[in-house]
Amino acid sequence: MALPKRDELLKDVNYDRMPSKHWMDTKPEFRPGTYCYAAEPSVVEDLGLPNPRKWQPHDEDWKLPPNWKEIVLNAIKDRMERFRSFKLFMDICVRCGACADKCHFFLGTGDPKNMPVLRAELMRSVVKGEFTRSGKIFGRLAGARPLTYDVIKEWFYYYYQCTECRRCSVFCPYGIDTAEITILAREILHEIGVNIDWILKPVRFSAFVGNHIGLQPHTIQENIEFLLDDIEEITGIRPEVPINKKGAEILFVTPSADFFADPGIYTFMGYVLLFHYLGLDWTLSTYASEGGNFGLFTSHEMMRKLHAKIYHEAERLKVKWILGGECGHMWRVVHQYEDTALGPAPKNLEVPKSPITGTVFEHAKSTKIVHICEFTADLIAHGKLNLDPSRNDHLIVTFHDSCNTSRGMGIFEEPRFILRHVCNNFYEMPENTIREKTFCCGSGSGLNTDEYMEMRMRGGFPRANAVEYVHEKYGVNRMACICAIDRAVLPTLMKYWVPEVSISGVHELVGNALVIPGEKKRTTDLRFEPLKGVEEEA
Amino acid sequence: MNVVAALVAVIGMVIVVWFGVGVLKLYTLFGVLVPYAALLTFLIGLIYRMVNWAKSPVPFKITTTCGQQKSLPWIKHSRLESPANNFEVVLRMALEVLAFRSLFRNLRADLRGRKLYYGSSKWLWLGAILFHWSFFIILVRHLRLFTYPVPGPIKVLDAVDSFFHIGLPHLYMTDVAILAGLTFLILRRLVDAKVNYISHASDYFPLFLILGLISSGMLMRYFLRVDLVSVKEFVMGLATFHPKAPKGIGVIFFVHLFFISALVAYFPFSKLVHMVGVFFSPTRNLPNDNRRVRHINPWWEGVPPKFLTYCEWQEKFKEQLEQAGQPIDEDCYKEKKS
Amino acid sequence: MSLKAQKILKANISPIFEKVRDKVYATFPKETVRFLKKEVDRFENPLGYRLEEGLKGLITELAGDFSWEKVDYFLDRIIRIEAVQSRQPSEALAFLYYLKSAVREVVGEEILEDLGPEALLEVEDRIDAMLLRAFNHYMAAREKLHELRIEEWKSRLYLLLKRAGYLYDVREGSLPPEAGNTEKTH
Repeated sequence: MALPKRDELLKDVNYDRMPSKHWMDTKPEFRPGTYCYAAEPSVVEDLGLPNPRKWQPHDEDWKLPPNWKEIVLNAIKDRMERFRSFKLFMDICVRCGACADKCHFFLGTGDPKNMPVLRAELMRSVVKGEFTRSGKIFGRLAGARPLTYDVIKEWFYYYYQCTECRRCSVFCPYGIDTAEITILAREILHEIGVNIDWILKPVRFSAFVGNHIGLQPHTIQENIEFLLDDIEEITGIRPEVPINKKGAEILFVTPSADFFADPGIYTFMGYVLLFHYLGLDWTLSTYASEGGNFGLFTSHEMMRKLHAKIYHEAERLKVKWILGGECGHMWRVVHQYEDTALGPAPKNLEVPKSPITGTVFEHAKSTKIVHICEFTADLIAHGKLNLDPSRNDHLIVTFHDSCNTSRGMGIFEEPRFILRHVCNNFYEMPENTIREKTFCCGSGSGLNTDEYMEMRMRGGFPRANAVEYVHEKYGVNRMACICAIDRAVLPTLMKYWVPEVSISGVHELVGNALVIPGEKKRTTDLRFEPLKGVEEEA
Repeated sequence: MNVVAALVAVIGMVIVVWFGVGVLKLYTLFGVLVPYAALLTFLIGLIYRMVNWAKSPVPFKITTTCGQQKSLPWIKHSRLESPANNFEVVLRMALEVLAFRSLFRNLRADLRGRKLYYGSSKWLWLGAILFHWSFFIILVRHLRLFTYPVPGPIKVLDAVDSFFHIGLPHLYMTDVAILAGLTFLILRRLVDAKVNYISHASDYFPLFLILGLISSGMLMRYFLRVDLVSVKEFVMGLATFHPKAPKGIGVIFFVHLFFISALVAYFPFSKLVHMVGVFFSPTRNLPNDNRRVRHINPWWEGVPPKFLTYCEWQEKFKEQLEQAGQPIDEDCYKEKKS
Repeated sequence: MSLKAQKILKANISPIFEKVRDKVYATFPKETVRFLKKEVDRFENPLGYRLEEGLKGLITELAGDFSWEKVDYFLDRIIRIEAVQSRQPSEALAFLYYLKSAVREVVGEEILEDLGPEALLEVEDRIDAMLLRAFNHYMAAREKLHELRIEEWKSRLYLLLKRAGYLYDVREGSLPPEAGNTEKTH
């Protein structure tokens, strides 16, 4: 008896394999969950960016300016003249495919256009097709194509499906950096008013109020008071948080999410406890109240504009040096752009020197900005902190290297050194998913919005998969990280893939472990979760 | 389609040479003019390319850091992966250019089935190394045709390369190696759907061109033996700018010569410039010393940033600042005026 | 809970697996399939690893001592991936349809001839049951996604909401209405 062939019955449903077409012939489909909403016209207008209008990516007509093609081509030419990186990266790719399977979006979506080489090729093909003779003559044979309306849509789709994490750049034999191409592609798209709301709103607030969600000076202070209440309840100590204090030694800048978002606030509590313990002469600024910089995801100019506040404030407050909190792209900007964009540092700044250990941070002698992990690691190395790691015994910790601080800075050992001293259970994730090979959270570069949830879960899957492995193997239930976007999005990612694992900043764990003179016996950690052994006593 | 176009182009070249030399006897054109023109194109093209790259500034120091930064003195920094100064950059570049460091990164162990596996991409490294190094050695080896007397090191290289004394004339190891490397690179493009998807005709073309170049060279050496004395005489003539139209050398030599001419002329205008381009790559050729040494961006230097100053901000939020008891800075107005 | 056709199924786990895997992969872009199939590192290729692990697990359960606990585990792992791909629900759960096809194509005739139609129907019914169960997992995953959207907003504005008294605070000692009710009824 011949049994019926079932799969034929499925043909009229919808399971046709993606047609085997040349990649230049496939168009992106704007399905909900896979793209971010366009920026509201008023936001675009406030920022003085081109072409404010009501539109959405799923619209057929994007209402581009009539001369959009000319604008884009001029913008490309301009970037080629100003960025050797861009010009070079357009020329030297040999399409060896070494990067192809390194992108977390490719790994999580299986979409071949998410291979970094092809993401760059989306731009490269147009550069060839519009600016080179051979491209015009040989067309597709030379990998060239003309700039069309559909290309713009494709760019938008895929350049907002790249988190600028630079993992591919690590594996490229020529160091081609897709992040650089994405940054410039977004910059170019902004010139015709193709943008996303989730990036431009924080940019607007940062530009006009001071931080991403527009917390005004008094709100920041009230939030901090509230956190101090919590600290007092947990430790019996009420540290002081100096605000806008002129003449302080150190200006502390951290991503604003640490003032109000869960779990960033616990990291903030950690900072405050540490500074209190040290008796540090520091201040916070309600003006330069944002370390994060969504301008980086908009354009170089916007990045500069938003970041200028920090030196400006350091100069006004006459501090000696600047200490930076845990943040990923803030540190990409501080480390790789700040000095160039806004330096030389104001004259009142001095080469940073730890007032506790006397260590001079020679490596930051030009920018005068030190990473809090460098600062704390130095304290621990000099035995200046009284730590009780058993207060973190209820946690089994792993560490997620954030993309920006890994591949755009190289801070690997400092946070690990701290973690090994503040907790007893620390386990690394598999070797090819950490350090310079770390997997992105899947929501970086301004893509951490809720309408993008499905794509974020896919992009973050490789990371979650590695976490799950250490969760099953070692019972890991906490992942530490040094990035505010990580702290915002990894909890969501974990809740979907590995719900048993929670997220925190490194300094939250420092705050837990720090034994402060005069404190009461702690029964909970900074989240009011009972310490190990306490529950039984109670 | 892409493969076919590339293949047709290369076969077309053989036909052109065969017709031009074998039938029309255009020895001077194919023996002298074409090589010189190609060389000239190569030099001019390459210089143009490099000048063109150099004309665009490097606005930011965007090193890709693949290892620990140099920070605290007791933390060992990774000299090769996160170079802290120019000397270490040279080391990093050397490793990249000579040993294809980044491609080698794909080393990985598999945990499925408890057996140790190595990832496929390591093959790419091996294929690339075989291909590039063999190509380089073969090029150097060819210098024996351009020099008289042949310098010692080249003789040694030649002897080492044919060390195994297989066949007569002795088989060069590099010939075998480059064929293996090249075959791998071509097959990979054809077979691996992922790489196939991203490949243009311009990716296949140089591969086929080089395959043609090597096969014609090997044919000449091992099978269709050409008169080496007249070849050397002719090549010396070319090298000393006293070219004599060659006679009595087989067409296969002209095919070989045409292939190398084509390759050389094509070089500056194609992805082959990666050989030179890699030295310009800002993610690799800059030290990770951003916070220690300031990098200058020519188009921003002297152009102050525009932003909301503290003073403007204070005006905006004065009421809130006062309410919250945060200090009002009267000095900032003075500084503004002065 | 084992099936009549257990022996035949057990002897054919690998061919059934290969068949169903190929059917599932055929729904991915073909440029990607080679990577999914070939890359053996579970961290470099999490998608392929999980799909294959799950499919193999389901088939092994089908051919062995069927336990819902294990089946649920594998279903959940596959479906959590499927639920965030941009696919229709019918596409997301099609892998179970394919499982049935694969079983029929590989061992269908053999089961019919050796054990009669009853045995084959039994296997297919079992897979149908898995499909029903799969709906639960799919819905749970989708609901989770929506819940996460809301939770993320709450975390994002955590302190602001908390200060405004919008968040339910465990430490204040109050119990949510449901909790109060259940305590009374017990």
